[in-house]
Amino acid sequence: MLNMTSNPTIKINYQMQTKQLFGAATLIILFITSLVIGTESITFQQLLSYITGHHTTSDFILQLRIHREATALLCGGMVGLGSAILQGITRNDMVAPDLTGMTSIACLMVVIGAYTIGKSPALTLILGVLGSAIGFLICYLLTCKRQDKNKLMLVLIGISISFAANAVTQLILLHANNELDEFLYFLSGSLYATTFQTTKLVIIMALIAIPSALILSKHFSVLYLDDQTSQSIGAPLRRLQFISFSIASLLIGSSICAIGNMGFIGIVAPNISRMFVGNRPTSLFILSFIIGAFIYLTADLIGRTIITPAEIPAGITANIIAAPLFLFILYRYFRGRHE
Amino acid sequence: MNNHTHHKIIVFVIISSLLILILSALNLKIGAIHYTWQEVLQALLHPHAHQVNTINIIKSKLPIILTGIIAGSGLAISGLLLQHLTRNPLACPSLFGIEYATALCVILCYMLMPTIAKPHLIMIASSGGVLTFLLMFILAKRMHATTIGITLIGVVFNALYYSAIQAIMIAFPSQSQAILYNISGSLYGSSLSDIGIIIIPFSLFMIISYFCSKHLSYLELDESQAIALGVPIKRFRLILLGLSILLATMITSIIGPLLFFGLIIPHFVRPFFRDQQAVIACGMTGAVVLLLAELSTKLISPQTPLPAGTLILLAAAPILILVTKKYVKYDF
Repeated sequence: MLNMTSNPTIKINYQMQTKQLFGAATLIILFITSLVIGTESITFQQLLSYITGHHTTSDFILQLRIHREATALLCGGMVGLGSAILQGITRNDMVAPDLTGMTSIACLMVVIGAYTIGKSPALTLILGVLGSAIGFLICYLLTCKRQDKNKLMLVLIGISISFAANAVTQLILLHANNELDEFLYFLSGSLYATTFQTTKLVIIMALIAIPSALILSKHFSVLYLDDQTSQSIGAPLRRLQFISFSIASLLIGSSICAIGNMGFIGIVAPNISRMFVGNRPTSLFILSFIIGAFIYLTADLIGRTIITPAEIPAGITANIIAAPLFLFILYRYFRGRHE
Repeated sequence: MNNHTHHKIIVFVIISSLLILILSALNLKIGAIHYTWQEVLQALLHPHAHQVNTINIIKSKLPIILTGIIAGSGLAISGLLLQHLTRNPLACPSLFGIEYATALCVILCYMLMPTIAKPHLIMIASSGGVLTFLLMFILAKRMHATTIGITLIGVVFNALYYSAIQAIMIAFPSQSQAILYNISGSLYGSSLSDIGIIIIPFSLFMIISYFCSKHLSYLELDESQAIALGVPIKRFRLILLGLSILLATMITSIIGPLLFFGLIIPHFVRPFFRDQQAVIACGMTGAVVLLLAELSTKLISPQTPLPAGTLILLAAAPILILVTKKYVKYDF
């Protein structure tokens, strides 16, 4: 008879679950804090009475803030999760939406769509998802012949393409006078423009994409093997890659539509999670989601409280938070290669 | 050096000087207000006349062209020197974080000391740029970063400084309007007095870098080979490194960061010229390209001209792809 507690897999699973639970608890605490703090502070009693259904004067503020924070949480998390999937597909730890041109091409396509066809949430969403898929494919196909020899080239090309795409976006926004002012947040990633509609869309997309990502994670370890090995054990590699890629672009594209250019969260979240849980897909996905959401919520909280009543776009504060972390990740990356 | 290459560089210099002249003239003529050739000529011949057109051309349009020529040639040469010195084909002052560091210093100076004199400002900003370069270099060494890795570290630095700049802008909106235009990589916002300040150190640097660059190809040797040939490579390298960074920071403190410019121009020139000739050709090409970019921004939107840097960004991606494919064969 096996002793349950000494079984190594169960022990590891137990450790993973503790880490995930700890992360989730911190995230919830942060979420509640960010609901309370702001230009107008709200007491816990008001929050409680809102939840229990008693109406007070601060309801409207609270409602706005809940929408905003929910968007921040879901989008930050979805970007983290999406990049974790992308990194698995490409077997390259330095892949992230903003480093492979996904973000800026998606923003560009959304702005072009709004400029030529018209503004509608559904169109924005479709173009965002399509754009992020196209942006990644451009960068990947340009460098795919050298993937095994020159991993970072993908990132370099991605960065240069995103600079170019951002420049074009800027040109169009300038040309459109004031009609497209609401898309200005694309350039710096603000939650200021969040409306109920975007929140609803983001929640729907999250409800579709996150469970499918978790289902996918059961089969995901196959992708870590090299091509020959996975084919010889009979895994449907191409199909799996295709499905993973579409889920990743769904996750990333829909969050780009809501928050624009969110900076280095995409690269930081999966890499930090990897330090805690290693390469186990399910745990990695969950923790990436939690860390991405955590960074973006913190960034938004800092951005809107530090210079009230004005606010710094969350994308900018997120970059300031995430840049040192990114340097640390690069440090580990090159150390690992060197030794 | 044989006669043939001499011949080539002379032809190149003549053609590019002609191009610079033509582009400058067009830049003077075209803009939010179009002037006739007569008005332009009149203004240039009698710069102290009290006519509206003359004052406009001399005070606002002439500085743009002069800054364009200075900045274009200076940044291109600085990029060329850096590429040789660090043996990194992707080296560029903007990708080492130097330019954004300088811009951040300029903004902080204006915030803390609004009445600061321009020469002091340029000195403080330059020291900020040099500090960032040292920091980045040490970091890259400690990390054992590869060629593209160094670029990535620079990108992270750039993003960090850029975000800091944006945050300051938003936090202090009243003071930032004027500065914003100053640091967006546009040639506007510089005056004749700015040019008067930087022209002396600029020409000094250019002359020194021209004479130092005689042995530029020795830098591709490794240390022991250079010693065997009797080239004082360490001193040589240090002088050139300092020069190129000072050149870049000085220009950036006037016009703001111009991303990728120092990277792409040398790659136009490197296949055709070497050593001193490459320096000359680089300076010329830089000036031509920046003036051309400036002219095109005016043609695209005459009323609210974009920063010239925006157009450079569009050209950067394909060139970067070609350069990486050609030079960086193996890199993790």
